[in-house]
Amino acid sequence: MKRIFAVVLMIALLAGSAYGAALPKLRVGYVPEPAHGLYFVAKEKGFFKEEGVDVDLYQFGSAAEGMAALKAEKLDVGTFGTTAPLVFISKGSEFTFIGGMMIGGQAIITRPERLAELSGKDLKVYKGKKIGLVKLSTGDVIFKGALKKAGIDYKKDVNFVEFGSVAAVVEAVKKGAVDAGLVFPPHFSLAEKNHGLKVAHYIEDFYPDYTCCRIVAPTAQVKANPDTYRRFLAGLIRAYRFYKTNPDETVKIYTRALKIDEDIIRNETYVKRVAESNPDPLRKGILDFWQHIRDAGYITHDYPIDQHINTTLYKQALDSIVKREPKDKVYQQMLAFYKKNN
Amino acid sequence: MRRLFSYVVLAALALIALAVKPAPAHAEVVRLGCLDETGSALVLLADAAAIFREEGVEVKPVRFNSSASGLAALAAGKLDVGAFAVGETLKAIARGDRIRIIAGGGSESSGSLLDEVDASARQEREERGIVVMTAERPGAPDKETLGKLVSALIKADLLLQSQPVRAWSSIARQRPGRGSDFRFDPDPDYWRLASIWKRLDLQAPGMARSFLADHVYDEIYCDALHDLREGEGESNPVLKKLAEKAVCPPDCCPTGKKKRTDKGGSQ
Repeated sequence: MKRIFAVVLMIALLAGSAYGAALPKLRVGYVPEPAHGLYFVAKEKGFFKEEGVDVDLYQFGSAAEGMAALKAEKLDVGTFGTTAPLVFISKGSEFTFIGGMMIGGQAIITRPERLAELSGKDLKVYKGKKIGLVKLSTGDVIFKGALKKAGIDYKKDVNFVEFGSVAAVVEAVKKGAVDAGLVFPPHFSLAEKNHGLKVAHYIEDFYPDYTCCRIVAPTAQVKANPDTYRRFLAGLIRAYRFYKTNPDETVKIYTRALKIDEDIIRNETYVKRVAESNPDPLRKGILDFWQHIRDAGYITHDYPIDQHINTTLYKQALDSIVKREPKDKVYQQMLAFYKKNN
Repeated sequence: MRRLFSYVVLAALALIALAVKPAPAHAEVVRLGCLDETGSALVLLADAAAIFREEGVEVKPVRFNSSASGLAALAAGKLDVGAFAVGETLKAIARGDRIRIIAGGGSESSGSLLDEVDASARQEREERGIVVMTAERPGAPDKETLGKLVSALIKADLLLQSQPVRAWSSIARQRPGRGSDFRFDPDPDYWRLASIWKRLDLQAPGMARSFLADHVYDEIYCDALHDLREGEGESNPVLKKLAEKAVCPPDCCPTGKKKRTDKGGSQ
């Protein structure tokens, strides 16, 4: 009996390893950001392998380090904000945006006694104010874009103060050195919890569905292995459905992977919904983001960024899943969202 | 009386010993080639004012009469780091020399509006401006050492901007002459280099679009500037100005990025 069991076990192990070995591998880099959790869901729930791709995840301490690894071909995929890939591409790096990971997520914090003064849905409340930010962060670029869209000349009417880190922005708000500060998750939750500061606005209040962290890959590899990347995106699309329909388990997966307080993750992800983990490439959002960087004068040279956005792979991945489950509401919503934003 | 004299001598020697800050035990000797001219002031000042040493890096300056000879020495492995003219450096990169620009330096600006309008004269001055580069070969200074070097150059710029009399007195020979005006900027400034690269028509057919960017290591400058801002405070006006100009992708998220803990003293 024991012998039969051993033989069965060996066959199962061999079959398993052969299955794993047959799958194309992707090395995926990310930064530990709560809304980047779709990677962990797709990996833990087996969506990547079911779609036919073997994914190894690598955490990086900064966007610049991650982009350097991508450039050195130590990674096949990277999720390192929007600014960093745009800066690298504009300097000649051959990367292609193939999807997204996070939409929204930035907030404006202030001291409790200033909250009333900054309330309301009109960006004019920020005219004449001193606002702390980290230069070229998504919050910086998008908030300036929102002000411009609202017809406010932010170069004249708002006093922006640049800080070296988001911790320094929080500190400046706390000390009253600035009226408000632009921060990203989970810093506003931490600022509320640890320092009694308040969120005056989420930038989404003024600029719906703006792009945050995008998924990029080396252009040559995308061209050489489109099917692998399509399978990878299919895994993420299925992870998105799981995240939309299984909040409790998703929070546990995010918490385990990112080692951030479970309450903060639940609060940001499902209660306040400050950011959405969404794999849509958001082509229009990337182009807007680039324009906002240029408008702010951070990069004076123009470059046709659109050449570096591939929406086809995502659309094909989504179509293949919709074909399998045509009545699924989440996938239908993703399809509508894709049509609107690409 | 003799005993008293001995005590005084011993005390004096002890004070001298204390005044000379020893370099950290692990200090590596970096052979740094430079030109003996005003544009090299950041490098020369960082050496003369012991800022390199303060940052924990031992630098051995090697003087050259021309950028061409210095770049040749760098290519031959006789130098680890060089501070030479930007035009010559970009031409060496285009020829295939394995070097990466890590910082900027000084360049002459006439100060006259009329001269600034004269594009060819302005361009020539720009090409004579100094950039700091490292060789790319086995045994070349590692990222940490380059970070310390660039940090020292930023600190030299702070000293030059905030205490010019003190700074120039320590490198009196390089002080700009009457009527000449120099600008100093430790930022390698990829976009400025790209303009000069384009003007010199150095992008050959078949070169990757990122060829120049692959030879500019601005991550070193961004990290050094970031660390100094955290160490020196956000309010330092010179650092603030440098940060306003720099194009550095920001950190995001609760990063596990390692910070330098051996920053030494501050200016």
